[in-house]
Amino acid sequence: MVERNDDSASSIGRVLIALSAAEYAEQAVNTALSVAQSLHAELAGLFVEDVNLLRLAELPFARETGIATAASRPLEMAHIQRMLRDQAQRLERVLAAAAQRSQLPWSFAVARGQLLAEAFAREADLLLLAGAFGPARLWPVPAVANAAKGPVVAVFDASPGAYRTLSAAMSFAQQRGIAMLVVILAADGAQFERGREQVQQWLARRGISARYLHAAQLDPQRLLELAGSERAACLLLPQASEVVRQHAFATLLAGLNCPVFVAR
Amino acid sequence: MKNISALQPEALCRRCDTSVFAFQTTAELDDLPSITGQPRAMGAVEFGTSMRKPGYNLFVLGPPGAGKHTMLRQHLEKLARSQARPPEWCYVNNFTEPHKPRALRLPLGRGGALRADMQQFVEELRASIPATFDSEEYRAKVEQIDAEFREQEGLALEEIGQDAAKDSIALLRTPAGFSFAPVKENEVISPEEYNKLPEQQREHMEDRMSALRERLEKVIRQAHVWHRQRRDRLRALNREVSQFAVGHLADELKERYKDLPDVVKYLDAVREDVIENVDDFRKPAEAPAPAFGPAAAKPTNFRRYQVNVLVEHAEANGAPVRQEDHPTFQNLIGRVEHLSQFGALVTDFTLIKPGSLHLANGGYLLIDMHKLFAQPFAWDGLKRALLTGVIAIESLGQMYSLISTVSLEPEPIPLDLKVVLFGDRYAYYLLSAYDPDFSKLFKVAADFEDEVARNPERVLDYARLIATVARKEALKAFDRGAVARVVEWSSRRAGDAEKLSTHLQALADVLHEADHWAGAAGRTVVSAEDIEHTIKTQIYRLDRLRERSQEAILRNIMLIDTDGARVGQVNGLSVIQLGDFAFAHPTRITAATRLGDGEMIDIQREVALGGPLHSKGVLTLSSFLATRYAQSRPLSLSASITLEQTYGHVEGDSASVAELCAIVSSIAEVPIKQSLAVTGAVNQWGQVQAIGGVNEKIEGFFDICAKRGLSGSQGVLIPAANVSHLMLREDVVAAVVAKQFSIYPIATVDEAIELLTGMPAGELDARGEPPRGSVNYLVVQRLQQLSKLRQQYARPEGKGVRKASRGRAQR
Repeated sequence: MVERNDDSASSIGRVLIALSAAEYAEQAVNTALSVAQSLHAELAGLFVEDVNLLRLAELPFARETGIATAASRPLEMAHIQRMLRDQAQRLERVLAAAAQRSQLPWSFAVARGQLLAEAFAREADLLLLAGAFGPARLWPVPAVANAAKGPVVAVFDASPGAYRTLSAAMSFAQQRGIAMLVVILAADGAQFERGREQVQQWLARRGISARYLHAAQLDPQRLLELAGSERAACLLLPQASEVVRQHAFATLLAGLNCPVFVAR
Repeated sequence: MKNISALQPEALCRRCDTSVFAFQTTAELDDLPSITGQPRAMGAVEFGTSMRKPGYNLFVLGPPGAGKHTMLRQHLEKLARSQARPPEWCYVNNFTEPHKPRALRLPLGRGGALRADMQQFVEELRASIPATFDSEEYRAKVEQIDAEFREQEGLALEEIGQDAAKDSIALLRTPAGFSFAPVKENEVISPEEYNKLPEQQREHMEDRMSALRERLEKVIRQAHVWHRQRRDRLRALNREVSQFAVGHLADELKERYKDLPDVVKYLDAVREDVIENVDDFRKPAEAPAPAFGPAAAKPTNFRRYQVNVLVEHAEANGAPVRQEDHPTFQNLIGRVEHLSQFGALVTDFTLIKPGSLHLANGGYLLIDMHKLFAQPFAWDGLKRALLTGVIAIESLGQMYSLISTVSLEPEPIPLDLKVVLFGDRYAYYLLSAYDPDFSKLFKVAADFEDEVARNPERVLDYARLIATVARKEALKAFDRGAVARVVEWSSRRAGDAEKLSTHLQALADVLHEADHWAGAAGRTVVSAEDIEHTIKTQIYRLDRLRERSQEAILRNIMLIDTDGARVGQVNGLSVIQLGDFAFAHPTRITAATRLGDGEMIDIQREVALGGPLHSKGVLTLSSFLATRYAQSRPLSLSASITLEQTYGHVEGDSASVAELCAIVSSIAEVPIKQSLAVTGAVNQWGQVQAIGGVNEKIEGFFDICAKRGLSGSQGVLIPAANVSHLMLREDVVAAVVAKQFSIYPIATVDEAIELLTGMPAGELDARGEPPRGSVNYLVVQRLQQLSKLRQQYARPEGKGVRKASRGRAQR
């Protein structure tokens, strides 16, 4: 269990939003912006051009099956590049407009590779992962799920980003006026109690109360179920947490209906 | 010679005796409760207002300023107070055809209540619907539907993805869809690596991907079906939830209006519409509407649930009585207003505005016909409404394709009212003759008299009328001398000593001004002196032209003699009407006669300055001359007559006696006294007939004589039939009393001739011959001379004719 609970451990100076599609750009930017604003942090944007897509387009037989038409058509490199460029520009525009409106410092970058790898490689205290390609849905996220009124779910474990996770969760909850659920990763009941007391004191100093849940171990599937049953408004977890390092983290991201923040 | 007496002073002006009044001032008199002296008109009004069949609208005709509006309005207001207030009318949205708003008829006070209830209903829905949709139950149901949908979709994609993975193929998401690609260690292989693969493997892989694509296409197509099913289920769920949220509120309202089936029907439609458009209610109430962009194009519109109460009678006292002073088409029929939104004109049922027909429906609508006819399409619009029995609001602009924008066709409202049109007689007869609809729609004519009989009863009513006006207009009281003077003024205005004028506006003007002059003189009660002053100042303000005319005569610019005697010259009298003021002045009429063949030249007619009535007078006197003097021989005379120094149109036959006297004087060569003036119309038997403006004519000649100096021989000859019309000025009467001026009533031309010439006219004896020494004798003698002369002239001419005939025969 982490013993450091000073302000430097919980301070967040830079919030990075990483996307590989501009489908939910406004939604994602607004979420990141509200957190950055409450934390007075810089807002950084990262658009990741999926390298797999580019390789696919180089293959001679590459074809795309459209969602709207269910028809297959040749997939050309020029087309993919243009689409990605357009998406990157759109994201930058949205980010710039939002940051300037809120008078926040901002930056934007485009990278080529895999979303998670590129996002984790960047310097930031808090990452918002959204809009990743992968085994996505055929239809957009339903409106009701977006308007979920469940709590902010924060995972607290022994990893270094644990207090930043709490800090970001607290900001999100305060700003939205919603409850906070802290999932404490502890091997047994005694360890959970100690962790709960520790978090409770930390939050109490900031005038916040929360609900606590004990998890002996946490895998992406368990988190997915928890977020669903709680109708989580947002999920926050430390980057060093075991679940983030697992290969199935990408599956978790794709299956969730809410934004996911990763703190360092 | 017949002795014709001048009129006695008592006959010159019918004074109003103050002793008939039992009051000192009008303050002691009660108000006159209703119009008097108009039994025919008021009978028609009472009949018209009580007759409830269609078409029995009223046309009130009579002179302007007679107080018809005031009288009718007072009568109708009194009547309306005892009648029930009509129902109220609202326009509400037609949810199936929004461009045809529905009209709802509601009992008294229920229109405003429905409006408030609907406002409250919408406010409650805006709170209750979001709350219902925010409930755990609803969310859980939506989650369940979405989860099932996601599961179906996810399983299908997962199955394809897993099958692909067996052949090292990955299902990838592209910006606009999906694709398959060969992978190695979770990364898409490069073209170089792919080309290194054995051809057989490549072929297998491509076949596999092709098969997978086909499966994917089927899944995507199926996903569309799933999505539609999901949407249908969500819609059904929303409907169910909405029904719950709307149901009890709508039921409460329906219970309140269960006695009104149309309102209940409307409320059912509202309920259905709310359920259909429940998403509008789920938006936060406080969210500001965007000004631009696609969202602004269709803002949340709760106006469609408003109630536009067109007519309310909650505060009314009985049936409505409305006077429309600006009867434009739209002010009568109502209109649909528009709002400008981003440069386009839009409208809805809340912008329907009532017209007078709506506001007066169930009561009475008063319109001035002249104002109605000054407005384009207003008469047609009014007729259409009365003929069809409904008020259908139409846009003139659209009717005539002047504008092209969104407009409405509101459901017509049944019409049940009495229209009272005010106009003059001429317009009434014109409409009766030329508009076939008019007699169908205005079956009752209320014909107001210009004047009423002057009898003791009416004089007392007149005094009460003065008292009523004085009280209503906060004027000083009028003493009985003032009342008497007003009565005399009224008779003079009517131009008849036995009548009183019904021109209430002129009466009110006199009363107002007299009150002013009394105040200026420091009196608290208006006296006869103030009335006299008022009349004199009114005339003074208007008589500039009369003064100029008299001045021209006195300076001999216009030649008028008031003494001496002249052959073929007589003083006629002309009246000039200038608006509300009339005056007269003498006009010299001359006649010239000579040998001729009976031709009578009216110079005025020859130069087209004589009106038809004037010409008729001249032709009548010609016929009289021929009948009297040339029954058995040709009239060997040509005569010409003219009104000297007249430079405009001359109309009327009131100068025909004077013209006849001038011709007789000319034929007989007997001079006519210039100290007399004559007026009157003559018929073919030589009888003198009544004329108009007798008072002005006498005063016109009197003024000239008075200014030149009254000699005692001066006077005016008037038709005996006009004696009852005499209401002469006090100074004229005073001159008659002093025997300085005389007024002679004449019944025949012979009487006029005798008075004008001082010679007997001479009655024809049994042989048809007039006595020697008479004017007629001289006329006959002269005509015989002329006849002989004509015969003499005719003989050599006759020979010539015969020669000429012979000459022609020889040829």
